[in-house]
Amino acid sequence: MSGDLQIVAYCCQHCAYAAADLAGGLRMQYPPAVRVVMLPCTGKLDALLVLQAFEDGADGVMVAG
Amino acid sequence: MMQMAISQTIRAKPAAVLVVGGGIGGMRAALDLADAGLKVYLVEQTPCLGGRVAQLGFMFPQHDCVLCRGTPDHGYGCTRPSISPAYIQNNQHPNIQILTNTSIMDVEGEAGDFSVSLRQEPRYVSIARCTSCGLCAEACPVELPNEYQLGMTKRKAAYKIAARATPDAYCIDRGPYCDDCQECQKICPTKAINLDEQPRLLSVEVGAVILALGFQVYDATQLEELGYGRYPNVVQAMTYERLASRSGPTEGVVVRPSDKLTPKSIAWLQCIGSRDQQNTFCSSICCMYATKEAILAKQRLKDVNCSVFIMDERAFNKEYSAYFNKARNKHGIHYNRNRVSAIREDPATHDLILHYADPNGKLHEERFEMVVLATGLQPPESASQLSEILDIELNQYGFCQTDKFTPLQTSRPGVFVCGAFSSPKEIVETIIDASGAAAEVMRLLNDRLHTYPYTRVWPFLSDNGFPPERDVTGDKPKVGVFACTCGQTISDYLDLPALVSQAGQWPNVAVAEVIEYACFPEMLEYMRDRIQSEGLNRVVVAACSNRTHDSLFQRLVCQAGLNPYLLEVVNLREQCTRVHREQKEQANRKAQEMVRVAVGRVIAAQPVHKDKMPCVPTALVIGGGVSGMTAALAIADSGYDVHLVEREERLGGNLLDLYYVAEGYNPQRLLRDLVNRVCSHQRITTHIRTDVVRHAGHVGDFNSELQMHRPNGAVERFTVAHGVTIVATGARETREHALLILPGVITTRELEEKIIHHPEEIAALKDVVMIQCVRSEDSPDYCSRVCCTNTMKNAIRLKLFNPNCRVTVLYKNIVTYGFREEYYTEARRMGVVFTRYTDEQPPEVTFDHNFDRLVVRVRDLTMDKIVNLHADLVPLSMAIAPADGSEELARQLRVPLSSEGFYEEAQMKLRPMDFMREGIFLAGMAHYPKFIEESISHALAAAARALTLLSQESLWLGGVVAQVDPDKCVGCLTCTRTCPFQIPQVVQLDGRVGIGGLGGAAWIDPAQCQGCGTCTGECPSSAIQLLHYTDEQMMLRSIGGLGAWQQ
Repeated sequence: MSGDLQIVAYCCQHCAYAAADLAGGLRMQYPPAVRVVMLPCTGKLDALLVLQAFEDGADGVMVAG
Repeated sequence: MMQMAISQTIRAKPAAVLVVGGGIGGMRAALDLADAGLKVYLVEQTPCLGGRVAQLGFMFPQHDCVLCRGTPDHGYGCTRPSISPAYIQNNQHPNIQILTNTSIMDVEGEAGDFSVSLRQEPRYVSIARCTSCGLCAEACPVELPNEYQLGMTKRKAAYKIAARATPDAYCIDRGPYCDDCQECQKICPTKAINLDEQPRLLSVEVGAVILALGFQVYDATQLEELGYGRYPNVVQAMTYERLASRSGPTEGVVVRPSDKLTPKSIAWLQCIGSRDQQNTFCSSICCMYATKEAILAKQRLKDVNCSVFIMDERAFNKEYSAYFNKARNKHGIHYNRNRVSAIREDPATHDLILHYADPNGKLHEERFEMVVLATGLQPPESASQLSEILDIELNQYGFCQTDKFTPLQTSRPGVFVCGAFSSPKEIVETIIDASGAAAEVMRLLNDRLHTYPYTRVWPFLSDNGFPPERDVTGDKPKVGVFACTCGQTISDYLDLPALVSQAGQWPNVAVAEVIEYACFPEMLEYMRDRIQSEGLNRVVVAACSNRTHDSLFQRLVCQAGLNPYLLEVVNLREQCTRVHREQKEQANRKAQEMVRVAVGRVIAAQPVHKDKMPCVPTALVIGGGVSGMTAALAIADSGYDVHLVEREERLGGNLLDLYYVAEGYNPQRLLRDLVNRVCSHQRITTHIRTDVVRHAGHVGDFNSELQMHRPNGAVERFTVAHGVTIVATGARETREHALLILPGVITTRELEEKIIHHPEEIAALKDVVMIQCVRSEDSPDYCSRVCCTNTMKNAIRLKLFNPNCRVTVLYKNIVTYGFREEYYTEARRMGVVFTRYTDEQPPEVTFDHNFDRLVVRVRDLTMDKIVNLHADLVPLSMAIAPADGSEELARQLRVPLSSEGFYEEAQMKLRPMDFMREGIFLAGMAHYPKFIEESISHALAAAARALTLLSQESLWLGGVVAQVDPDKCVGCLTCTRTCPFQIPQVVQLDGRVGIGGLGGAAWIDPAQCQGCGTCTGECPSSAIQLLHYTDEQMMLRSIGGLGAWQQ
């Protein structure tokens, strides 16, 4: 283990994911700990997905949409 | 010889349209026309699309950020994106040709057959080869003010105006300031820049022209007393808009220009360049946008004091009244009924001192740290020049001249107008106009619709010319991983060779390679060859955003014979290398993990198909008023059958009782014209005395049961098949009020009847008190929009009949927006007295039996004392309410109603004529109270949207939708409750029964499912899977899950 944090970010493809793209377009810097997973809508988020992320070793889960 | 001569003269007339202006209106119009199978030239003067809306951060009243509701600056719309996906370069609608930097030189010909000369200035950058790496801008030594940020930041001469401009490419501004150093051309890694590019002259043949020129903002330096341009902290609204926008110069943190500190007090001054001596019209949008800006300030800036200096609160659309109330009551924004006469600056602090008189005439002086001028709308800069080139008339204000009953037609046949060029208007009205203008064009070019058919397999991916799809069922996954260097944009930050060598060792990965510029044609061809020669059946492209490039690479795998869903695009550029520049080690690990997850997902991926279904080429229009008839005629004239259903005895709706309008036109002539055309149209079947009692099916294939009441009392039921439905059930003037029992208290409509049928009674009146904004106590409070203008027209009539008649209007806000302001001015000029009242002290009406007259008791706010007004007649402007039976019909159609009881559209700003349920559209007063011209535009807009479906032989439905496994379904109804679109139903279909054989199983119609996946997350028995987002694809158990950093 490297000791890095890992945050899984579940993002709606229409807004939050687009915002993450815009951050890229504007070269805004944020920690690599954030791993973006695209959802068709945050409504798709299942409690199991959140639990699964923690089970797999994530330190935090962010839902944005 | 003879035949040759004929074939030369009978030239095919162009199935193409010119849309001038690449703002939100032009884009919407172009899209509807393109969907209907016409070719569109979308001409824009600047280097990118978007217009004014691209500069706005948030939209009133829902504060949807424009980011997620779809402007080209930013990206997608919501759930079913409305506009922008069609303009993303790799996904561009095949029927739309965007011509940026282009202006119109000349237009010749006639309606249906124009020849247009265009001039395109050089961009100096090849859009196809620009990857937006930004090296040219870094190399460019010339700094210029950034006009997108209103000069608050700088840009280079080599620039891209916004991070996600459309077209997504840089351009070179070679004005006199460019010193021709050619550094940009030298540094460009893809050789996209050619500084020797010359202007191009183009000539296009089109059948019609739509003008969507937009507006320009009033130049506030003309009002010297306000100090704009002299005092740094007096800014105009557009500047504030940029300051409050997340993509603005301060990333949304408002600071005042003089010292870059957060202001503690801000004042908004309304009607700057509107409702004054020079600009007599109302700009329609400023009340709302100032309120939005004030609310944003309250939400973001701690303890800020916000004051709006306003004449009338003009909140005349759905939920806008509630928005004002929220601003005042929840956010504590002060509204001062004043016009500020002058602004002085305190030179020491640059604070601003406002002088104004309160309603009682007392003079005040108040200090603010920042002042925002709510500048009005002016005709677009190019209006006068273009009007000469196009030979169209402008009105007295310099906007495009239109007629009340043909609101989207200019004075030249075949040339149409939409948006703020015809009168000041906001986004939603512009969208309505734009689709409406498209309907006018479809009517004109009805013999040419569907000339360029396209198929919507994946949003805009045409399936034409793809080889047959290879069946990969049961094949062992064979994944190809292609990692793109993107010049150095990716490879400078990531060790791609190490990444691919690692990936090559993962199970099921057959090919892993580094490639350069995956999006270039030569590389696409290379990848296609590799997929075919290696027999790959899954593909991962690690490059840039899947939002912008999915469709490009989907097309690639289709060409290689694979299903487009056997592809994963890894967003290395936007979400890794560009945002983690300083942490290369972690970025490399993250990239590796992103690719690994994509490989895991693609292995679990299964082909997804859409189903082709024929569209019944018939429309059902519910409601036979002006909107219903207009929509029916637009569809029928375009060549499709219509069933027009009217509940009453006669066609006409509210128009039956309208005898004159403020503008002087005759609504009865419109009524006769519409009824004659509807009744004689061979494609329209009219069903009067008929209700819709059942509405089933889905877009393209609806079945409705109609119930007709014969005059003899017999009831007849029959079924019609139709592909689309338009709801135009209208609204009505309410009559529920206790005051109406008093003799002499009547409604506006009754007053109009009197004026027409008993003018002698009207001429004898001596005192009339008109009361605005009257509603029954239990009904919701909203502005009925049309009453103020109707009151002006009636007050003017009363004065014309008898100049000595004392006419008093008691009002809360006068809402005569746009050019209707002139009737307010005219009424005051004729001596009509306007007295404002407040909700706290509404007027009281009693009947004085001693004098046998009505008495209206009201507090005069100017004198601050109670006055008693005697009246012969008290007309009440009663609220306009949705038509009776709206709730029942909404249930049948399974569409929602708004809090005010009107039908609720799919999205307030960008989809005002659509319902969330596809194939059902909304027109006229069923949406919200409207003027005749607004109802006509809305009806045409609904017709245009309907025609985009009707003009296609077949529709592609399904795709990424939710599927129920009936064997797992327990029939708990959770999905039916959680679906935002009310699509799942528990039915016994095809003999399917749930667990225990009880009550059937849930069924989700693939033709209706919007693919959000909400039901899949909620289903307690995991019986529902969203295709392409199945549990297997999301959980990634096979590769150790999402959270596993190291492998």
